Formats: sequence, C-alpha cells, structure tokens
Amino acid sequence: MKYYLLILLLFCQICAADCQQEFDRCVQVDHWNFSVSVGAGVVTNPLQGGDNIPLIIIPSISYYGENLFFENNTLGYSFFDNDHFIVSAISQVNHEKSYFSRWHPENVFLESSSSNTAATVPDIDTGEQTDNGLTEVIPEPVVNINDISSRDWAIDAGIQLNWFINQSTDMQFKILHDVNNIYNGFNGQLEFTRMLNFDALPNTMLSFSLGVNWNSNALVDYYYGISKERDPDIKTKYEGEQSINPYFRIVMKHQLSENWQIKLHLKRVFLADGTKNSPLVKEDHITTVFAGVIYDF
Amino acid sequence: MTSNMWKNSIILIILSLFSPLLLATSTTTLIIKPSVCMVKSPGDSCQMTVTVQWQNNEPIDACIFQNDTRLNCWEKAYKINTKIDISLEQDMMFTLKNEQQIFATQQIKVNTALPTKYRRRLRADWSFF
Repeated sequence: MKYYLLILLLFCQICAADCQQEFDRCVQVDHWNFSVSVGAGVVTNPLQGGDNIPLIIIPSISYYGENLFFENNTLGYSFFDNDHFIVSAISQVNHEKSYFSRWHPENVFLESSSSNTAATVPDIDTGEQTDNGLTEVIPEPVVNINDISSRDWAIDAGIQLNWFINQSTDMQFKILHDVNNIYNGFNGQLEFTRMLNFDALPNTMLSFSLGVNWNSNALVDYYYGISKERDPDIKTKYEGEQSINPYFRIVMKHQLSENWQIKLHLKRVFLADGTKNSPLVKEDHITTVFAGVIYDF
Repeated sequence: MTSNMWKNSIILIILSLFSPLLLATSTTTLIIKPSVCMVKSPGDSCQMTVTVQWQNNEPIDACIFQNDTRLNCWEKAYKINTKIDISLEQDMMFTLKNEQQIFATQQIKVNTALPTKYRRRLRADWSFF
C-alpha cells in the first residue's frame, strides 16, 4: 500500500502542470514583484483604547522560486505540487499583536498618554440585587490596552494546503504553531475563494472569499486574557477561550494600464465569543476597507 | 511591325524610369551574423561579437546603427567585413544608413533558452489585513 502511495505521489509530481499564462493567481518564477498601493483605508481596531490602523501607502513584495516563496509577511517552501494541490511549509508573522500597537499618527510623534484613562471595573460581571430589591445594571468590565502588560509579536510556522478546484476557485487550509514561545498554541485558517471576470467590464476582476480563522485557547488567552500574574493591578480577570472567527473578503481590481490598477478591498471578521467577551474587546468585528491605486514596478 | 517597335520602346522607357530605384534598393547587401542571441531567461542582457558584412556597388559614406545608437561609421567604403561588440535585451533593428539614405536593415533577435515559467500564487492578496 505504501509503495502504491509513493508511486502515486511521484506520478502526480511528474504530471504537475504549471500556470501556462500570467493571470492574477499566477506569478513568474524566479522573479521579484514589487508594488505600492496608495489610497485611503483603515483596519478597525476592536480593542478598548486601540487605534484603528490607517491604510494609506502599502508596499508589497513577493518572490516565487521553483519551490521557495516569499510574500510580504510569509516565507514558504512548497514540497508537493500537482495539478490541484500544493502543500507548503510556511512561516509567518502572527498579526494579532498589530491590534495592541500604537498606529495613530499622533502616537508616532507624541508619547502615549499615561494609563489614567482606563476604566477598570471591579470583578463583578452581572447585575446584583440592591436593598430595595431592584436589579442594578452593572456595566461590563472594561480594560484599556494601555493598562495591560505588553503583548509580543509571535512568529508562526506550520503547513499550508492549497486546493485549486479550477482556474477561478480555490481553497486554502493552514495550521500553525508559534515558534518563538509567545503564546504556545495553535491557529488555523480555512478559506474559500472564487474569482469572477465580467465580459461587460473588461480588465476587471472580482474576488470573493469566505473563511474562518481558528485561534486556540492559548492564543486567545495570551492576547485577550487578563490574569493576576501578568496584570496584578487589574482587578478583573478573563480567560480567553478558543475562537472560530468567520470572515468574508471582497476585492475588486481594474487594470488601467500595464503598471496601474484600481483596487477596492473590503473585509470583515466576526469575532467569536471566546474573544469578544474579553474586557479588552469593545467591538465584535474587525473591518478592513481600502480604495486606491496600485503601481506595479 | 511598326506598332511592335513602338510597344518595345515604351516598355524600355518605363523600365529605364524605374531602374535607378531598382539599383538603389538592390545594390547594398547587409549581413550580420549571428542573427539570434540566446539568453538564459527573459530580460537577461545579451552581449556578443557579431560579424558585419556589407557591400555596395560604389563607395559610400555610411554608419551602422543599433536602433538609434550609432555603432560604427565608414567613409567611401564599398565592401566591409568587420566585427562589432553589441549588447541587447530584446529584438533590435540594425540599420546601415547615412544622412540621406537607408541602405539596408537587419534584425537581431533575442531568444530565451528557458521559456518563462509561471506558478500559482499561494497567498491571498493582502492576506495580512
């Protein structure tokens, strides 16, 4: 049986078909790609006291060799490749820390204000009976990110599987674990993407993605949990639980010329209870929106 | 018979009118060898020494150009056989000409040994955001 699988594996690699032409999901091998997007956009920050992340000038860089690839925050090596499936070992920067960073332009020039803006509420989660029998509504505990200990950037590594169902439809699955002992847990992603071209709108491509991000207990607890050990001055506590955060993404691109494109990008992530119940979280979703132009060098 | 003479005379007159043009376009020959340069990958620069041979039926002043760049000139020459170092990244036209006249042209092609390869992109656009 194992020999059969080995032969099948070899056969599949011999049959491997590369992209025959350059379209949006194909890139030239052994070629660096640089582009810069300029426009207006934002990534909303769901955290108490967190700054929205402005999207104004966004450089992009990628390289694809025969097996090795690099794309912005991800380094990968594809070790299995056939007509429909590519399996790669990847390493990437975990983006969770970005919500805890100071992004507002004024924070670049001014020191962050002291932590006296925080409104930490004693560890009471629900309403309680008053003397006259009425229920007093106690606000949910709120913790500002300026009052907690620093969360660090994590580097994740793991396996990514790309399944190219046909030329316009694909799925991606990845499972990762941090490799620099930051949160000591897992995260994963499952994404379905469909690309559409329109006869009535030449040179225009619409991409629609549906997916889920899975974050393990350890990841959610490291970034969104509150504990006496890490934050002794915070009275409330919260233990993060694994979260399956669904999302959708719509990207529209219109090729203006060989080097210029117009881009519209919209993404919304819906935070699951394990994350959104944290006293650090004020919104149950993260929205990314951008409109601008791209110049490909 | 008389009418045949007239007909032949008219044909000769017409031919004689066109003969200078025929001479001008057919008397200069230009041969550049090799006419194809092989590079490993698209966009690579090709550098090679080519043999340039040209001849005209009478001495001329002429220069050879690579697109708009002048490479070499000759005065009152009618037969040349020389070597020139050239560098090109794409197909280019080589022209033997002077200020008044284009004598001959030849294209040098750049061929890629390995065809351009593509592979599938493995990350969604802006996957970080």
